[in-house]
Amino acid sequence: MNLRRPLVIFLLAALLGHGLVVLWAPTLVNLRVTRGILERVLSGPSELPEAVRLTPVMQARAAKITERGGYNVALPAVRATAASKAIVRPSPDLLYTVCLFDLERGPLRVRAPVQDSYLSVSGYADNTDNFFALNDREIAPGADGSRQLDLLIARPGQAVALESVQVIEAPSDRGVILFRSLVTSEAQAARIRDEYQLFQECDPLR
Amino acid sequence: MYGADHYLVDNPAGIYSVPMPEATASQVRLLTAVESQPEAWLPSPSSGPFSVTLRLYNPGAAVYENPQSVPLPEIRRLSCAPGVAS
Repeated sequence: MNLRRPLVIFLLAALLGHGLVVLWAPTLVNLRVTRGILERVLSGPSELPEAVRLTPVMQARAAKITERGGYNVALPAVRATAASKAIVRPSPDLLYTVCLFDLERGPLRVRAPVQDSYLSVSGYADNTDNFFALNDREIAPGADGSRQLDLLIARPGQAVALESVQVIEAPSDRGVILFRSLVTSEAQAARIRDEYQLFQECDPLR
Repeated sequence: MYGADHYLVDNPAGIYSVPMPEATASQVRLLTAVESQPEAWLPSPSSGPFSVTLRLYNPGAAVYENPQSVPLPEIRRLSCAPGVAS
């Protein structure tokens, strides 16, 4: 199965941390349920993108991925290329960000800044059913004029005490959140990646 | 552009799609070529079947309400000579 390679390369490419791959990849590939989901929704390049500086923000994100065992954290965003073989007909114009979620310990907060172009966020249950999809057109500007996607993903009955944040009910504890951002140039992709490093969240609600 | 295997087509120029801004009538050449071309073009595989996909992101209401009304691109074969990239 070619699933392991895209997952491993995500980390190598974005985090340049071999130690992280050793810690992270076995956790993910041992999860049979996760494997099924990722095979359906993931698409990733197998070559390294342009050189990535390991900034303090990225180090913090890398540490989060390790300590959470790959769940409940947004993985680095990638674009499809000819080397992307995980799923057929990936769009070369979308930056894909994957977040595996596990709601066993509580809800997940999903946030992303809305760029001037198309953004879609969707959720897939542990049987790969799509249980929600939202795009940028459905997000109204805030008081300061900026637009931000802000959601809570929760299991039925989980207490959520957060005003004015839309709650989406997940049909299973585990699954995948997928962000798709339209990019038509590498410059735009770099800009969105930079913003996502700072402002994109897929984290447990505190 | 996708090859017979439904994956993106490897090419030295790294071109996989052509963004088409709204309401432009323009032409995209589908070519088997190695060097970059002056006009908008999409590298095809050097042999075998291929397919192209048109994706519309956040289209106007007319598209949602009546998808059949969308004027689809016309695809015309210009030339197909053995040994000649065209």
